[in-house]
Amino acid sequence: MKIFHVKIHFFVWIFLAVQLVYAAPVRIMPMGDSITYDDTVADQERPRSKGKRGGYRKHLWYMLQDAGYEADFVGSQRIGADIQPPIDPDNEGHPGWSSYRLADSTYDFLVRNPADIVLLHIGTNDHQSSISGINEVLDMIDVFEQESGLPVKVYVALIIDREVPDRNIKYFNENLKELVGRRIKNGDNLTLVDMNGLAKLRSSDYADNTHPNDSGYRKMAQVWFNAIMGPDTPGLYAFPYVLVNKSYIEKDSIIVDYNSNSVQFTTQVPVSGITF
Amino acid sequence: MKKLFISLSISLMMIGCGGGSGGSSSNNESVSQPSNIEMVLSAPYTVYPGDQIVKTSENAKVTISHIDGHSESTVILVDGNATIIRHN
Repeated sequence: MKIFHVKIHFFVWIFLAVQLVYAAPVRIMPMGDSITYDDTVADQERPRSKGKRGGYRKHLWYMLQDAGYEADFVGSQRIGADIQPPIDPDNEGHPGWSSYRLADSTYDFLVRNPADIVLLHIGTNDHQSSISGINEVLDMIDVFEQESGLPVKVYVALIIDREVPDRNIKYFNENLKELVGRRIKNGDNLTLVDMNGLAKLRSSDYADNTHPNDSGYRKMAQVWFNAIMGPDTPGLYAFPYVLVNKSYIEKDSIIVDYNSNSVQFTTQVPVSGITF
Repeated sequence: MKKLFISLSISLMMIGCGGGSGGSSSNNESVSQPSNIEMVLSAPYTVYPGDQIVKTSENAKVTISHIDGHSESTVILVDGNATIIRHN
């Protein structure tokens, strides 16, 4: 009987330990440039207090709180510490940074502040060049995962357009879809988030040609929130490239319908076949 | 009552632990074979994770539809010939 009691105590402790592990907040690292930091062109001349800037992070924090989601924003930057109601101001938003510059620091950021989730919105400052900078950021996250043994789920955003649409951002995002799909196909733990298509920012959502205002940031936060709370899928735009190499897919055949949450595309069948 | 409780507990533990004989009984079980489904032009097929589409003519082309969050997809052969290989 005594052994029976000892066993019960053992299982109770295991149960409580599991509950504690599950109750730990999810560490989320908002990562990017001025759009993550909340910096505008006007801030160059008359900077707002850093403690008052929240960007999408503020709204996302409130949405997660309202949903009962235990989050812990992490990062070396503390921007928005004076906002009321209080938010977690930690992030890795770095105004003016290119994707390449971010890649140089990504590994160190994660070593200093390990994250379960990274929300990546980068490329606005270097979208005219290739997407290899983002590839490097994702490579650095992989290195961190391999060395630390800690998995990191990365939500990669198709970046928002300028108020005056920029054709280069469209091309940048097209290449990013393929990159993310290819990496998912190779086993990377990524989700593609169509921030540009889903946030649907209008002129009234911009503080200047590049940066959203509060209403724009609220829309961005909703897209991040839906991605975090939604099913663990690669993202509609990445889906075709997860299955088939770009060269087989018919140009312009990819149709994403956000009303039905579906994607359709036409492709040749490669010699190696298509594995679902 | 006490004996009944103990015997019930032991039974539950055995069920929880699998309680099976283990060993090499799988040697006698039949090994499942993949099934092949010849695709017909314009007909929709539901495919599941693990299914594979292979072409049986050079010009095989398919349209694939997928709903976010679902494991299955729908495939329609739009040109050529292809087969769905399903590993049961």
